[in-house]
Amino acid sequence: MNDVIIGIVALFVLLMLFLTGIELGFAMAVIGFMGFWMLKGIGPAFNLIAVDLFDVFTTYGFTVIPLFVLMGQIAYNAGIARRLYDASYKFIGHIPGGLAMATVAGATSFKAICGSSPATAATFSSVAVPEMDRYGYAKELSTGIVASVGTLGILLPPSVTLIIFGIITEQSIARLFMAGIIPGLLAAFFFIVVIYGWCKVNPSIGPKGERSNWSTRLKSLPEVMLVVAVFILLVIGLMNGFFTPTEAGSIGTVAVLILSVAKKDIDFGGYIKSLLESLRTACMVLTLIAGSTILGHFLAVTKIPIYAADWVAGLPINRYVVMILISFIYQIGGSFIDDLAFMILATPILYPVALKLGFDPLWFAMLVGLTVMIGCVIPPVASNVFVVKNITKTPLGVIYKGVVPFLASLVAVTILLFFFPGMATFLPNLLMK
Amino acid sequence: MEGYLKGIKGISRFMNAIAAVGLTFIMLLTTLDVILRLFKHPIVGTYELVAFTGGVVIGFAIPMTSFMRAHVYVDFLVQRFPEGRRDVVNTFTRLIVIAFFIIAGVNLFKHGWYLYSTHEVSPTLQLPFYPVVFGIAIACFLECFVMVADIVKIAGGKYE
Amino acid sequence: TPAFSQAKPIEITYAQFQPAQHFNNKLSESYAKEIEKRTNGRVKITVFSGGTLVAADKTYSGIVTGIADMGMSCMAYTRGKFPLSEVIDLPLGYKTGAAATKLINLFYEKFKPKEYSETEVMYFMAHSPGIIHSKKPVYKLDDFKGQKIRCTGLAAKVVGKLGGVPVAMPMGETYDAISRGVVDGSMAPQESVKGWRWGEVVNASTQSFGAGYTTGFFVVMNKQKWNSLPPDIQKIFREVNKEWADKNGIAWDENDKEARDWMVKIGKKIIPLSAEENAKMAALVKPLLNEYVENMKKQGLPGKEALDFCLAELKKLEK
Ligand code: NA
Ligand code: NA
Repeated sequence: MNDVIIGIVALFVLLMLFLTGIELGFAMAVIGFMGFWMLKGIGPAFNLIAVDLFDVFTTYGFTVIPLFVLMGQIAYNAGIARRLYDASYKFIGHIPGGLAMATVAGATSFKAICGSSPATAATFSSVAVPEMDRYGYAKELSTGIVASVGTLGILLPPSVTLIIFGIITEQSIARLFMAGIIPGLLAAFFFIVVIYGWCKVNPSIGPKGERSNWSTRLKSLPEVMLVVAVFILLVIGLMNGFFTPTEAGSIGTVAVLILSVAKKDIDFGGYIKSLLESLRTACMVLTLIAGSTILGHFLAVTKIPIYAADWVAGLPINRYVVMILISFIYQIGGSFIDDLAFMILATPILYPVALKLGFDPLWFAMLVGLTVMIGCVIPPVASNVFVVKNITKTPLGVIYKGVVPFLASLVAVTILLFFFPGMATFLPNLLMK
Repeated sequence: MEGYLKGIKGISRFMNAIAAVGLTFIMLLTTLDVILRLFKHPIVGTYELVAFTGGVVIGFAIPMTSFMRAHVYVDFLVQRFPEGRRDVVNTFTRLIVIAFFIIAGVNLFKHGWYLYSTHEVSPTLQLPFYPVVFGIAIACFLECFVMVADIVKIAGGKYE
Repeated sequence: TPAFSQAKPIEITYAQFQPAQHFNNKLSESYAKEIEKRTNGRVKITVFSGGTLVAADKTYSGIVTGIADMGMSCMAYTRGKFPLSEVIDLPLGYKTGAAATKLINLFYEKFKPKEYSETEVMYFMAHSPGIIHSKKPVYKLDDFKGQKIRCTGLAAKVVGKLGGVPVAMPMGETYDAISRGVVDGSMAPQESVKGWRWGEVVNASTQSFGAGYTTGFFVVMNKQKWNSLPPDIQKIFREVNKEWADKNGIAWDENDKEARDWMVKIGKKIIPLSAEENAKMAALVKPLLNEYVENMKKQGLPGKEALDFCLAELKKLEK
C-alpha cells in the first residue's frame, strides 16, 4: 500500500511541477525517474531512463510522426494547402464555418492514412490554422477543431488502438474496425453540426463569404486535382497492399515533394524549411511520449492501475455505474501515461468485468476508444491540445474555448453509445457473421 | 556571453542537420523498399535501418528543439509572476532539466557500453546498436549546454 | 518467531512482453501463484504483461540492472548476446514445442554457456516449430517461391533459403498487412494464427516441419535479487522452475492444436507436407547450420559440439 501512496504523491508533485513552466515531457521523466528510484533503487532507475529514451526514439512505428508532419509542411510551403483552402472556400465558403468543416473532412481523410493522432493534430495546426486565419476565422474555432479532430482516428480504421485492443481481448480485428465506423463517423458529423450551429449563433468566429459561381469554382479545381490524385493514389496503394500505413508516410511525402518540385512550387530552401519544422514537431511529440513512458513504468510498479481495476471489478453496484467508473479509470490513467500503455495494463482486468456484467465486447471496445479520445483533449495531460498550443502559439484558454463544444460532441456520442449499443454492433453483425 | 549562445546554437544546429539528413534517408529508403518489394526484391533490413535512424532523427533534434523552446510547457501561472520571481522559477526548472540530462547522458553511455561489450546486434542485419545509443547520449549532454544557454538568457533578461 | 511470520512478503516484479491473454502469460501468472503458495505467501510475484514494465528486446538487460526482478523474453531479440545458444533457433527440423523446450533445457544443462552468467537462470522454453501461414496455400516448395513473408531475424534467412521474400514489420501491423496483401503470409508457430488473429486473413497453414525452426525463450532473475532469497525459497524456485519448463513446452503444442482446430472451424486449410517436400526444405536450410558452426569457430566457441548435441538429442526426443 505504501507504493500506492508514493505513486499518488508523485502524481501530485508532477501536477505542481507542470505549473512551474517546465517542459512537460521532461517533468514526467524526472518524476518517473525519482519514483522508480524510491521503489526499486537508484541503479534500476538510472538504467530505466537510458533504456526508455533509447526504446521510444528507436521505435519503428513512431517514424510516421516526423514523416506525416513533413508531408504537411511540404504541402504548406509549396502553397498546396493554400490552394486547397482557396478551392474549398469557393465551394463551401458561403456556409458559416465552411472551412472548419472542410478541415474536419480533410483531417479525417488524412488520419485514415496517417494513423497517429498527435501527428494529425500537429500537421493540421501548422497547415490548417494559418489558412483559417487568412479567412478571418476566430482562433478558438480553428485551434479547437484542429485539437479535437485528430482524435477521430482512434475509432476509424486502420486504428492501432483497436488492433492492440483486439489482440488483448482476442476479438476479431476486422469486426472491431467495422464497429468503429458508425461511432467514428457520427463524431465527425457532430463536429460539423457543432461548427454550423456555433457559427450561426456567433457569425464572427467563422465568417461566411460570398457564394462563388460555378465557373469560378471549376476554375479552382485543376489546382487541387493533382493533390487529390496523390491522395487517391495513396488510398489505392493502401487498400491494395502496396504499402503499410507506416510506409505511407514516406510514400506520400515523396509524392507530394515530387509534385511540388515538378511544378516549381518548392525549392531546396523550402524543403529544408519543411524538414526543420517537422523535426521540431516530431521531437516535441516524442519527448512527451518518452516522458510518459518513463512515468508509466514507475506507475506500473506502484501497481496503482492494477489496484484501481481490481477495485472497480469488485463493486456491487449497478452495471452502468461500473461502466462509467471504468471509463473514468481509463480517462485518468490515459491522461498521465501513454494511452496504449495504460490500455495494455488495465484492459486484461477490466475487459472480463465488462463481459461478466453482460456488455458486448465490441461495445466495450468502442467505449474505451471514445474514452481515450476524450482523454487526448482534457487535462491534466491533453497531448493534442498541448501540441496545438505549442505550434500555433495560442493560449490554452483560447484553445479550450474551442475544444469544449467538440468535447461535448464526443461525450454525446459516448452517451448515445450507452443508449444504442447497436451503434457498435450493427455493422459487424450485418457484414460479418 | 553572446559567443556562448552563438556557439551552442551552432552545435545544436549541426546536430539538427544530421537529424534532417536522417529523416530524408528514412523517407527515401522506405520508398525504395516499397518499390523494390513490388518487384519481389525488397531491401532486407529496412525495418531495422528505419528504427535505428529514427533514434538519430529524434535524439539529435532535442537540443535545437529546446533552443527554439519548442517543447511543450504550460506557463500561464509563471507568466503572472513578477519578473524577478519568474527568473528564479525558470532558473530552477533549467537546473532540474540539466540534472536530468546529465544522468540520462551518463546512463545512455553506460548502456551503450554494455551493448558494445556484450556484442548485441540487430536481429536481421546484425548491425550494432551502440553507436545510436552513444549518439543520443551526446545529444543529452548538448541539451545540458542548451539549458545553460537558457540561464544565460534569463540573466541577460532575454528569456521569454 | 511471530515477528518473522508477520514480515512483509518478498515482492518480485516479473516482466512479460506477451499480451495478458497469451497462454505464456497465463503460465507465468500460474507460476507466480504456485511460488506464492509453496512459500506460504512469503514471496509475492507480480506479472506485468504486454511489455508494460520493459520492452521485449530490453528485458534481459532490464533484469541485469534491476528494472524488473525477473522476466521472460526471446534470445532472438538480442542477437549476438547469446551466441552459443543461437543453435536452438536454427531450423533443426522441430516438430513439437515440447521437444524444442526439452532440448533447450538439456542444451543449457550440458553447455552452461557463459552468456547467461549475468543473471540467475530459472528455466528455458522454445516455441513450437515456425511454419508457413499464407493466403495462397503452399502444398509444395514451388508454391512458396516468391511469396512475401513477414518474419524477422534468423527466420528471415530461412524464408530466403526456401525461396520466399522476407519482409520485416511490427507484429501489430502484420494482421493488416496480410489482409491487404502487403505481405502474402507469415512464418511463425501455429498458435500465432489464433493469438494474433491472422487466421482471419490467411487461407492456409502448411506444416513445413522440415525447415521447422524455433525461438528460445529464457526466464531469468536478477542476480542480486536471487542471492537475497533465503536458501529454502531458492529451493522452491528451483522445483517450480523444472515443472513449469515442462508445462510451457506442452502448452505450445496444446495451443497449436487449438489454433489448428480454430482454423478448420473457420474454414481454413491445414496442409500436411509430404516427407519428400519436407526433406527438400531441410536440405535448403542446411547451409544455415554450417554458417552457425563457422561463426562460433571465429568466436572460439564449441559450435560444432553444440549443433551435434542438439541434432542427436532432438532425434531422440522426436522419434
Ligand atoms: Na487527458
Ligand atoms: Na496519454
